[in-house]
Amino acid sequence: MEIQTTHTLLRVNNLVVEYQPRSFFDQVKPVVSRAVDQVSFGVIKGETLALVGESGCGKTSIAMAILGFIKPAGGEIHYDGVELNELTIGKLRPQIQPLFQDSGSALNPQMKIGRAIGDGIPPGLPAGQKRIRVLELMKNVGLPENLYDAYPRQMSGGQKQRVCLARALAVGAEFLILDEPFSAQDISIQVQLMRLLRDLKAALGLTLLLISHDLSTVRLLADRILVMRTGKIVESGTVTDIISKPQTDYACELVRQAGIKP
Amino acid sequence: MTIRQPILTVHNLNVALQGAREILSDINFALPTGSTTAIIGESGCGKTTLCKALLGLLGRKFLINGNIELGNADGTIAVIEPAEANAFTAVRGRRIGLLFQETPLTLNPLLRIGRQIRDLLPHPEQPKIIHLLEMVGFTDPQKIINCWPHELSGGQAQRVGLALALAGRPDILIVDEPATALDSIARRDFFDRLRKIQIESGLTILMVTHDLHILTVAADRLIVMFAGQIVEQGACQSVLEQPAHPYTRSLLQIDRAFRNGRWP
Repeated sequence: MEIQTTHTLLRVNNLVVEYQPRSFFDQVKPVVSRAVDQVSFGVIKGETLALVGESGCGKTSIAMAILGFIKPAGGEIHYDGVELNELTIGKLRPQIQPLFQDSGSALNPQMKIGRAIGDGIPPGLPAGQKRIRVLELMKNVGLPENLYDAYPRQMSGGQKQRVCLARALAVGAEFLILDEPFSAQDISIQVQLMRLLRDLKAALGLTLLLISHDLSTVRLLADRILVMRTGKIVESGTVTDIISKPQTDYACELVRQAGIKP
Repeated sequence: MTIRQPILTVHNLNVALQGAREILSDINFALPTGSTTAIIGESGCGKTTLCKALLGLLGRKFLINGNIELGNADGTIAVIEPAEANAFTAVRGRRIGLLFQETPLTLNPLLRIGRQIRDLLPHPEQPKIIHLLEMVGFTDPQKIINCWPHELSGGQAQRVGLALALAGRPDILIVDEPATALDSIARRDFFDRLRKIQIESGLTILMVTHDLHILTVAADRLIVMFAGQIVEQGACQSVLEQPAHPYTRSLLQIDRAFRNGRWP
């Protein structure tokens, strides 16, 4: 895919994420585990960058650090030229929105869908306008209008995933971090959600960071792939490069296990 | 493959929620001894309900009809009437083992792994625990025995779950989406391990999965479910090569497109 601007929206420099021992007994002999080890990469505005690798390789830790959910032990993250830290994260977070695997747990079970999405809309809109905006967002993500008054428990997994997407758009997301967004769904629902993401990205000019271990879905959505292993990036390149000419043994293994053809 | 005596046969199984719609209707199938049968189908088609029905885990809200025949080692057949209370107490965990997707939830967070396996063994001896853990692929069983559940990775927890399921020495193992939470490499490893255990011990396996490209290596027979019914069943290879039902066809079409890097 052609990318018109080469403006780097997100820049990660030498990021280090470490986890401290949790239990009391571990503190006697502290073992710090390093989940992300000196990782640097950039995400260009309008592209889809995929992070692939096995469980525990640090993919999600990178996402958590970008979202400000965990404090990095080293390195820095710049979004649109501004360094992300405690002072700036509040202002920038509306633009950086996550979508996780288990959307059900991200929704308040006592809140109707219309309100869940509506609460994300920035203040200042009259009440009547707000409802119209929510319905418009629901239409954008392919949710029928009658779900406005539904509760999360009345919806399927794919629908909840759409609600979370609508909520991210309501806040004004420009950069979406998708952490295994499809892996809990059936293959036919996966295809629907993938199409939705592709279309939304094209319509709204979103930038996506897609975290997944499934190369067969990643290759259809992503422009570039970063392959991670034990906290480090071991390989990076365009989708065609990684799939047809993987350099490292690990990337070869990933391509082989996914059972895909170049 | 030679035709083997089925160890488990399900006759006309119907399951309905009381006063509501039917969840499973007219389920008939047999599990040949020592083979792996995979069940595929979309969410909500009744795969998990079927597994639970075979284990007597559905509870009183459900109306269950039909019967299950379980082959004994001496050649006789025991008939289980799922509608009867306590019909499964003698078989669950002993004749029929179970492993579900979220093993971490089934482990007691307050007991070390070794203790949890010990509690399930009829004659708990240390070498047996070590043997079980080696069987499921741990190279350092002593370390795992001393681990707390929270110290295990997802793949390790799933293998501990497998060891727990095998502790009762079952003839049949029912696994419901055992590897969905694992990444592709750990997943392949898990299925290879399961296959090896089956060859060594002659275990019969019924597994629910939605991973199509694991089927050809992990399963002998395939059952396709749609809206509470079995729409297709047969040898895995022949169903995949010549799918008869439109649902199976569309599923395989999507899978093929994914592998070739096209949008379905």
